[in-house]
Amino acid sequence: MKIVKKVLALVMALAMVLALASCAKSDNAASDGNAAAETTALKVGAILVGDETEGYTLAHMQGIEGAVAELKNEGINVEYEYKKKVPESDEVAKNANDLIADGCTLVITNSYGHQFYLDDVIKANPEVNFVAMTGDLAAKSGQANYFNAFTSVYESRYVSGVVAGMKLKEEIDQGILTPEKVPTGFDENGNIKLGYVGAFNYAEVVSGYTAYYLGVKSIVPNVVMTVQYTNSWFSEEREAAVAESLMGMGCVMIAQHADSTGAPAAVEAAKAANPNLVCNSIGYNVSMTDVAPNAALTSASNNWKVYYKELFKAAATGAPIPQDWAKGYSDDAVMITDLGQSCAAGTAEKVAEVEAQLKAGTLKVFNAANFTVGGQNLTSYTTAYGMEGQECMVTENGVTYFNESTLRSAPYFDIRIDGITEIESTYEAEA
Amino acid sequence: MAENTAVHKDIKEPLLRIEKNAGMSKWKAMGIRGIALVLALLVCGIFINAVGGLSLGEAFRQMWEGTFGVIGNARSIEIRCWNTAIFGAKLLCIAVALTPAFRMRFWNIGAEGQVLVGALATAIVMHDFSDSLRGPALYIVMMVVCVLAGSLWGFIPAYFKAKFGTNETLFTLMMNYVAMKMVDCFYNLWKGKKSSMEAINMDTHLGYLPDVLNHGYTINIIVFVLLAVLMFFYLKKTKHGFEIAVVGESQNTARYAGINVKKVIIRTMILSGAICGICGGLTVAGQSHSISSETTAGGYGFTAIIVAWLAQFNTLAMIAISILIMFLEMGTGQLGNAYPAFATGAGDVLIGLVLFFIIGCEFFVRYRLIFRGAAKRAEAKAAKGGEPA
Repeated sequence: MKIVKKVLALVMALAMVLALASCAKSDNAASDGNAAAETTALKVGAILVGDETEGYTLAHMQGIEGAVAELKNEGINVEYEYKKKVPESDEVAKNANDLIADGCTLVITNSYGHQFYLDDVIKANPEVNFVAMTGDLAAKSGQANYFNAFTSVYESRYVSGVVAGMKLKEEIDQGILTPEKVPTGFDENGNIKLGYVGAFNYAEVVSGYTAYYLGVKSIVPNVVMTVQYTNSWFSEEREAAVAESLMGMGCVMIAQHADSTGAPAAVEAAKAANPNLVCNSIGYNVSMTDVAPNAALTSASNNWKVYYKELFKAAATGAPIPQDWAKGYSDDAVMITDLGQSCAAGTAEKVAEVEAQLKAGTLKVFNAANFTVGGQNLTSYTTAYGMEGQECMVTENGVTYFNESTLRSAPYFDIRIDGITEIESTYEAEA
Repeated sequence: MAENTAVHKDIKEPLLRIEKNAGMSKWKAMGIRGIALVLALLVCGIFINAVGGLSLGEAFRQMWEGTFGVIGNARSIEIRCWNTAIFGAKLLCIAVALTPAFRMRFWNIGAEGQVLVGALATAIVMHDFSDSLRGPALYIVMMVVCVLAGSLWGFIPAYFKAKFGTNETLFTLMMNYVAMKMVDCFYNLWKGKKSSMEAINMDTHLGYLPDVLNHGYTINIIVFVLLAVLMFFYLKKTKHGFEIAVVGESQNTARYAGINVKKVIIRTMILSGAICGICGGLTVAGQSHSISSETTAGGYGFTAIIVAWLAQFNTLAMIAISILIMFLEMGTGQLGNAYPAFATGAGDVLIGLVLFFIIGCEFFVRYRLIFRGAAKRAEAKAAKGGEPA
């Protein structure tokens, strides 16, 4: 009896497994049929440092999906596969290999540190193209299948600075922001204090905060800025704590180059606790008006879709891919998010005016006439990070400026200009 | 006397009794394991269908492709098989390292830490001495230090166990955390102000193992598998192996037989730690070229415990078990890629289900259940047939 029961159970179990398996077969046949109907021109694999819950990676995913949708309308079918939450470690090589095994012929990484673990995979797979977004090693590597790309995001940071400047100007004109009413908001020379939550002490961040500062300065000339680092790309807790520390110093505008909503949320909370507080916030990547409806003015942002579309199209049709790609307002690759309800009257008009100038190329963000280093206007700079020996100051039509993102896509403006103070981070660095 | 008998008869026989099952035939044991595997697949099938709405067959196909590559696509098969081979070999190596200690009933759960200190020692040599030590000297020092570091991590808990009778399970476990924090410390030191650490000697490739068959880790695979074979003979054929087995059976017997138990414990743990150290050192030199408390050992120090147990400390059987674990790990990873429902967590549930059945069935191999009445029926049957039960 016992044996019979056992055998019966075994047979039944096998029967069920086989039944399930045979269902699978018919499923496969169906999906294969669909795939055959449309030919795929390209399969893209993306190695992402975060996932859809984090603004920076979300912006990349939206860019990829937007580009795929637009190319579909043009008759180019692009498939994509994501590897989410890949740390900047040897996991990158493992995931890149995995994507190639799945048939991807274009592999993208979206975080700066990913590039340090790609070398071997790039050399072993000459038929696959690799793009290290925000990276800076492609040109140096001499590999024909290795590319870098970054938007000229400093342009949109400059515009976000203009938005902040308009708000400060309105507060001054209305008499809300005066040395009498907000004594902590001014330094001993009568300059208005700005605060900036920075992620890491990298050229990318320096370039961004300087562009933002110059944007504010173009509207309100008497400003100084304090930059404090979190030593993390994404940490709500640290960004909130640093924003609070900057507000404690008296800063009346908090901007950020870090990926979470920590800073605007902290400003919003401070405003809720003290309705008379003069302080607003400028975000990054995505609109912060959801978490900070009163405090958030706008966010500097990238439109990655512009690049991804160009890249996918080139890769699918076999056209050459630029080794270093950097575009800004001229190609709509950067933007600021919708203006918040607290923005000053006339901001939209001013923004449109500045954007038009950036598009036309008549306005140079790093115009040497607009900033000084040690009291001097720069005429030459040859020691930019990773570009040592190359002259970065160029003169065009009588305007001398720093040619950010033209020698290489990744930012290399690492000059500490007058008016900005950096505070070393007390935090341990984390990815 | 009469009263006693009455009391004895009144004790109610439990519904279920468990009895040690000593003389089960190999075939029957294999049959039980086979049934467990089928049941595991069945439950997995139901789970997969409920969570992802796909059939077991489709899931199996995805898992197969994730482990061994897409059938008909040579490049895919090449990449996936190499990947499975290196991670499987690494898991195998750690399981092999644990085996002599486990055979001795020394519960070394500190493999993760022993791998990490070996990796760290090699990484320090690569990072700081690549310029002063060139050529073969560099490789020799890199390998010597990982063996020394791993053995030290094995020696410390063994010494305390042998001298003071400390609990080795807790001791080796805690040593893991010491090792992890040491790795974190050096990682942060080398990373400096950057968001993450760059690969060591990224530009010069000093201290990297040479490519064999296009892969820097081919040497690792060869060494790891070779260690499994050597360990098999060490345990089966040598005097040391015999001593380990005797100490594992009974320390008193061992002492009576004139075996120096303390010496065997310490010697075996040094061996166990040294092999883990080699695993860590080779991983840094041949595969990862960097260190991280999360990925260098990657939790394999703990997974290897399951591998060693499932293989019943037979290091050759561990090869098959390692491939099975790889199939589950790589396979569920691929499943998560293809079906968002399995992206986080659900894959681990599948691994858990399969391991639950496989480990659980060992109970039915080692013990048998006797239901109330079964004994009586057997008695009655025996009485009828006139044969002793």
